[in-house]
Amino acid sequence: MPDLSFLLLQTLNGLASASSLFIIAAGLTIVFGVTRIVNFAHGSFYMLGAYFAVTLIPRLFDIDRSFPIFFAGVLLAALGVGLIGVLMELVLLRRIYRVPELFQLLATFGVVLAVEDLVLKIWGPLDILGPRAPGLRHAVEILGHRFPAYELFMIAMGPLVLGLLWLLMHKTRFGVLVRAATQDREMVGALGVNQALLFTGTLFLGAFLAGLGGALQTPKLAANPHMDISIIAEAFVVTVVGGMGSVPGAFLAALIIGQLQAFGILIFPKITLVLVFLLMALVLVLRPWGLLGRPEAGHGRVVLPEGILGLKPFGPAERILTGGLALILVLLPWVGDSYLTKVVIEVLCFALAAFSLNFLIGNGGLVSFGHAAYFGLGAYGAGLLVTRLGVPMEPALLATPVIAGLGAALFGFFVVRLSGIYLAMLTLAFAQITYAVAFQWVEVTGGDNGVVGVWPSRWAASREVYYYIVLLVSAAAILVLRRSIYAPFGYTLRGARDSVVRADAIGIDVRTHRWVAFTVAGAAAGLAGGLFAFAKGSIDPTLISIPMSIDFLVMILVGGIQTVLGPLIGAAFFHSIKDFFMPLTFYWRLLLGLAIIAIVLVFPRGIVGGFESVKARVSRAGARQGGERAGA
Amino acid sequence: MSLLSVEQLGKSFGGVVAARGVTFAVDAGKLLAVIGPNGAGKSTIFNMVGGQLAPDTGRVVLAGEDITATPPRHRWRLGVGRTFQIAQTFVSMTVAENVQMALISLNRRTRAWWPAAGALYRDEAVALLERVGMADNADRPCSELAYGDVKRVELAIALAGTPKLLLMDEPTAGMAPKERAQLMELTAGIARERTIGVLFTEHDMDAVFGHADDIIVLVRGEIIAAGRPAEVRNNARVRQVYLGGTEIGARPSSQAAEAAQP
Repeated sequence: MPDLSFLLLQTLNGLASASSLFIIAAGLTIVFGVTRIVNFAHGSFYMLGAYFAVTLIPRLFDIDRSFPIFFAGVLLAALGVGLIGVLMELVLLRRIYRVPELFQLLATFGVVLAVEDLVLKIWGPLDILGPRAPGLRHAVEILGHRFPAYELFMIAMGPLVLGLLWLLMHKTRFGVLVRAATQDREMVGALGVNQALLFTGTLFLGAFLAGLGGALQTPKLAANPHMDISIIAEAFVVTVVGGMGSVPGAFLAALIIGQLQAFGILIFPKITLVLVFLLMALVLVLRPWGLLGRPEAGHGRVVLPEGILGLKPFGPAERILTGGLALILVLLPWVGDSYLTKVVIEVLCFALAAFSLNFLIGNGGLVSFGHAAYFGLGAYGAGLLVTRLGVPMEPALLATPVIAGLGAALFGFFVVRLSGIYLAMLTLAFAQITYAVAFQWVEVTGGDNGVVGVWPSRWAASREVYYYIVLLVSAAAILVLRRSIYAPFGYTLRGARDSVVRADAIGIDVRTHRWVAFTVAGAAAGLAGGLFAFAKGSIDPTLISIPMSIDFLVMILVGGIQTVLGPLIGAAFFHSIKDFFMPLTFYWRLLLGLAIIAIVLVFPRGIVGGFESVKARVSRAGARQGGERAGA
Repeated sequence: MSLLSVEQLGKSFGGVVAARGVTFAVDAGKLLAVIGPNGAGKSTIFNMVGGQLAPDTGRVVLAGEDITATPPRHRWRLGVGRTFQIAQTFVSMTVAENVQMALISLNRRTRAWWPAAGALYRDEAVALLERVGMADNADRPCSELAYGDVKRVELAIALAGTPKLLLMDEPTAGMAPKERAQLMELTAGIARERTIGVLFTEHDMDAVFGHADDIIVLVRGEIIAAGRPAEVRNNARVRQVYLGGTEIGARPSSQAAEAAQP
């Protein structure tokens, strides 16, 4: 039993990390509340805050090495990030408030990629530790333990920022508008508020807070180019647990999560990464809108859902394209070289995973942010069966949809009880739990390094033979899934997406149908993961990571979520671009990010959606000309 | 025995009484209108009969079976069809597909993985659309329809379940006067020919007094009057409480006739 003073110290540690979590999450929650944009770039703001601080503060120290100068540097860094937030609002977000939510998310992720590369270019790949704060470099004696003074300062910063935000929200016109917009955005619009200014101001505040959080971290945590992704997951957890849009909620959640992290590491050292996500899952299951959040103010309006709208049979153009594509795929090993075959194998695996994701999102309206969990479960299932238990490839592959399906059934049981952004966040939480297990259960999964030696059976060992296996299996799985979209099961999911109330009123058990769909999609993704593992010969936790889940999202959004086959095109496009540019340039992330942003701005309906718009326009123009001729 | 009998229904929200001791019955083939000023508790009662809301006290009995605790989707299987104040259809589907969905569900085939849904029960769906005058629009996307037509589609969806009881929450809200009269005519005609009991709430007094067989008047969660339209119209308390003394539903025939003219 640890002594009391030690427990106190851990509590203080927890409070310090709670402060920093709160400052960052407060910005995220305010931006979400007003703009309803899930801003992935918030992590980038945090990272930029840290880099600005480590650059700026040493220069300022030339003037005077004192605490006020240090603090001024922190504020300047945060201010700079705030201005970048303004820039992002003016240049990008302003143009996309009307595009579907998922595209907004995609655009902010484009920003993440671009910023990551710019940071690498400007500051290089090495960690940069910031100078310590003058006057707070010592340790304070507390009950016989030494505790860093800077941590005490951090503990004070959280409540201070909360208090300032409270004043801002209650005593200024801007703050009142922010709160009003968070509660009812349409009403604020109807009241004639200058929304453009409100949104710009909100982005400034949000980015400023993220930058502040980043800058304040620099004396204890070196600025590094990966801190954006690691913080964004935690910031999401805090925001969701507290209730999206609620600043006091974020504070409460940060306090709880800070303590959970401080004591979790003592009690469950093996599962520290899982703890916060378990908490989030638990909170969402018990309180579907977070601790202090409230349900979205419904207006009872009927809006066209995002996703598949009408199902049309293939026209001649599509038939020829599909037929041609199928022919090329069948002949590929003869016409292409070995490298191309390898790339196409990967594309086929991703295509199946992306298709299964769009089965959920485009057809069912169930936005999963964590589809990589099931891809990864399949990959790990196959990999571990082969390497640890010596199971041959064939039964291992057959087992992958079962393993991933079971995982999806377990997680899905809770997921389908929620809707909208909370559903998405719960899928993210489950994906992170899966990731953490793969990462931390080193004895079985090989931890960070994963497992190598996941090879196909001897008869399937040649790349060409394995290519045909992948082609056959993924095509068959895609066709089965596609079939269901046109069958009553798919229609039922789509109907429930359009109107849950109507579905319920005609006797449909919406939850059970969604659960089955989630399980099936997970099983299909697992199969894709299994195929991928044998293609690569190894497994590692990146297959389950957040970037992997986002890759799948990008694939379906780029292809077009309102089309049935768009995800396949998206997978091919995305993976070939990545594969083509990655070796050519150090800036593939920047290019990819800019490409994603361009796609959102130019083709907000994805490639296939864009193709269909053009087709519709051409046929309309043709009809008009025909009409004119007939009239003349 | 009545088709639907509602006995001593009560519900309050945090101290605010939305319904108290509400008792009424709907007979097969008859239309019962629930009227009352805003906030009288019409929607509360409606949602308790529909199953969207659980009552604090009282019972809802359909054809002798207690359905007080039955969820909406099971009520539908027992013969309760429903339309909504803001029409609820599957906007990504065509008109016919909307009705087909209801038929697919009726036949318990929503889990079918293989057959093309667009071809299932198509003829039955078109026949139902024929009855509500929407067969010509069968292949149009539901999202393209005028609101009055969406309401007709909703009616066809509700009919697909071969209901014994039809619940219509403000069926003519948001419609032009002419459309209103036509929709109420249609509903009344269908109710009589198929002996469906209809419970509806309505703000439009022409619709109420022109088509309801019986009316109940709700004020602050309690029934203050019930009876034939003529009785309710002449009820002094109703006039006083509900319309501040002016005669209600005075011109049902004249306005309906006006509206029906092209």
